[in-house]
Amino acid sequence: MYRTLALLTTSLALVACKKKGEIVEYTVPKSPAPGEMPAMPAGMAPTSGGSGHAHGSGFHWELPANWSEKAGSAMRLATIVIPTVGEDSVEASISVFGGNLAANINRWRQQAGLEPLEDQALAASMQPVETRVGPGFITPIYNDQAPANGILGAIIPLPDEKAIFIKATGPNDQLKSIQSDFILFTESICK
Amino acid sequence: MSQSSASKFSIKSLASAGIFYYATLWLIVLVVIGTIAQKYSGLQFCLDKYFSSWWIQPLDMPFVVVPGGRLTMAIIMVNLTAKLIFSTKWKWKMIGINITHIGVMILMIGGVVTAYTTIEGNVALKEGEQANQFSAFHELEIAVIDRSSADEDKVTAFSDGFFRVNEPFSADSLPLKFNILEYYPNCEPTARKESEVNDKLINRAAQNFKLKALTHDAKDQNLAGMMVDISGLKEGQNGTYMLLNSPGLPRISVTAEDGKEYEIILQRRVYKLPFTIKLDTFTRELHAGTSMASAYSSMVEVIEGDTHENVKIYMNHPLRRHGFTFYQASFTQGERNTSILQVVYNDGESLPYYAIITIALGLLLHLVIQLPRLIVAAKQKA
Repeated sequence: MYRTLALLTTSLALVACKKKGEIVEYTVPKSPAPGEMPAMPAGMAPTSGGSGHAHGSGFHWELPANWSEKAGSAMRLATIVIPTVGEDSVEASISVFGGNLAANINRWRQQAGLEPLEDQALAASMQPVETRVGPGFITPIYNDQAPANGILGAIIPLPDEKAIFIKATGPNDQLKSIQSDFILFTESICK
Repeated sequence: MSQSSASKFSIKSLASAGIFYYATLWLIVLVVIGTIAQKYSGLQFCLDKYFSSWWIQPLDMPFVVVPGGRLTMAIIMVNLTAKLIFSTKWKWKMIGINITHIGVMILMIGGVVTAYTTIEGNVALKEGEQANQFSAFHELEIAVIDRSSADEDKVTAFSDGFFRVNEPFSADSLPLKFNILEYYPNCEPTARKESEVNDKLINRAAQNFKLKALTHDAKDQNLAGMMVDISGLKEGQNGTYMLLNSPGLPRISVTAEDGKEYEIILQRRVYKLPFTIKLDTFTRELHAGTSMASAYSSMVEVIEGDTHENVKIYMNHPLRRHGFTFYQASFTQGERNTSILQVVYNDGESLPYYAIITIALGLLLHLVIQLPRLIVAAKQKA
């Protein structure tokens, strides 16, 4: 029986093979070219250039026109004040901390009254962006059931399991109106 | 012993009960080890290492291998088949038991077909959007995208079967050649020192970061990455690039020697569907007085040639077409709702049902055949 078992095991093992590579060709609908800006709300042209630089913990960024900055604290590098529509404004915090990225984004989603998402769904909701520190992504979190609790976030992963988190909170419509400038601001972050 | 009787003997010994007992015992050991390991290394990694493999290297020791789950199941299947052929008594009163055994064989064959043909993935559709492809959860590909056409992008994809270090690969339709220098199923980028930067590192990610291998994540949240040499490009672009399977990373743009432009990305493997699925509307119902979803559903249109069919996908009501099953998995909200449908393809999805029916029929038949004898025996006892 043992000789048979050994012979059987060896024979079957010889049949086993490594996973083979496959080359597949397919077509997909046209996607945006790298660096193309997302669609902007009608009537809102992007503000170009910047009113100056701001500094925090070795990181630099350029503020779009009319944006201003308040001093940060131990955890927060800076608070950015962003005028939106009329006299209104929203604030964005810039922080550096660690933790699992998906868990942090889901924590924001819960703050906006939305349910947490699995990784694949989370990835589908994020928009890649190239910053001067490295690649990152924009995470707009808008809950139609709670339009006052919108979050417009940006995350730039860093070495040592940390990341730069930029989080603007406010009404959905106001955040949408500043989204293109927010992306420009995120792209300007460098060290 | 004559030669013919010796060969007959070895074939018949494949039906030995001892083979079944030892193989099943080993399978139990694998299940225990794989179940414990899954807590630390993630479900998919342990499924691949302990149950889908032919061989396992315990603790990655060189030259030491033990049978993996697939090899063990193959041994059991050969053993049961040999038993069915050589040891089964094909008598009328045993027909119920024999049919039951055939049902078990169908179940095992279903397992084999499922093991080799199953693809799991998902597709995210915004309202009004349509798709004729989905992305697999556990397979990757290097996609080389030709954007030169105005109508659509043409992709040449290399599956992860090519992801072996120092085994170059290319396609006849592309002027590019790839040679993977490092590949990690899970890794993290770490800052590269100034002294480690050289002219061979081309894209910014490769210049600024190097890859540090990590063990598989316990929650299967792995970041796959590679350093790959790409040649066949115009001067100044040939060299080493970093590719990461991360939704946050932009594509690498390159120009081939012939002037054609391509984008390269490491992504989840894309599979085409034999039809198009379009999301008309996504509906979410809330628990009264809360913002928590109680149910959600997708109204989709399945487009196949000139045929359009409207189907509602919701919990316990998946869409089944041509071996593909679409389940309502999740959603995201935004300017337009996005429905996320889980897609499963399995050539063997019907075989377990046939197996169960066959087993049930066999047991029923055995009971009917044995009933007169049981009644007589009960009367005699009384």
